[in-house]
Amino acid sequence: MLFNLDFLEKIVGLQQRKVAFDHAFQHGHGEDDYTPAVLETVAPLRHANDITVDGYRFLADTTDLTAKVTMPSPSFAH
Amino acid sequence: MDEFFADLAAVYRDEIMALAAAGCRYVQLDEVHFTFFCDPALREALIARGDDPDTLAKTYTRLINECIAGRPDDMAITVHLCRGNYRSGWVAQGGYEPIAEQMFNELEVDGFFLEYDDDRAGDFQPLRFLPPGKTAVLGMVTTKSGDMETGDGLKRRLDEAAQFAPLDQLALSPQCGFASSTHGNEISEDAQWAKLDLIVATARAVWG
Repeated sequence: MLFNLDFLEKIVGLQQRKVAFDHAFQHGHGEDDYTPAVLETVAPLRHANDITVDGYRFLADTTDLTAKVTMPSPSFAH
Repeated sequence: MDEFFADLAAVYRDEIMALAAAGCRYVQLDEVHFTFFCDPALREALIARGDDPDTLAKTYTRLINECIAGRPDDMAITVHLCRGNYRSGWVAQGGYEPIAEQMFNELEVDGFFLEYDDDRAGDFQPLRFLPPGKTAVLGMVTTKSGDMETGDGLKRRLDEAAQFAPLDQLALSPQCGFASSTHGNEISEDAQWAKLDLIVATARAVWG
């Protein structure tokens, strides 16, 4: 599971679908059996619940430094 | 597609505002497709399926800007330009030249985390387009392997980069994450800590 799909599949209206991918990962160690999922739109997109807020709170509670939240670019959904 | 992009931007704005309400002041977007637009083979593949990479770059720039509109003034937004990171493998190769001027100037973010750990990322010349007020964080320390960089080597490369953008607009980081999936990359935990220690020591030596 890639981290970006954890985020995107929580957007109402998006769901994962497996497809062939012409440009596989190169020079790594896991390309043999890896087919990345793509997303398809099945309904109007909607933010039903917060996705990263609990993770942010958990992280912020562990440090006095600035806690950064990373999320996939919206272009992943296109 | 206008309705799709408008809905998608609204989702991101809601999420970012929820984070802001919780106290978060630093959000990063992991952007992969801009680096695809730098790869000649991937550009050809996009054109073959009927897409224009340069038009897509502008479309995604507008989309990201709409996603982050309305954020608090004191919230930093950065993007990481990623060429793929799965079990030490990658997808794209090619320097930033095809996207640099438009991306650095039109994307309304505070900073850019740029992969610069090997030849796949090209040279530092695209940094000449970095406008005042924005930061380029140079990912010179690879997360793809445990091969250790040296402090002197990193300082030399920072000197090269500073020929194209002011040093006070540059920063240093790992090239990508040590794990973008549950599998992680082919690198030991000890090597990961050693690389982070090297980045901190080098940054302190260069910027104080």
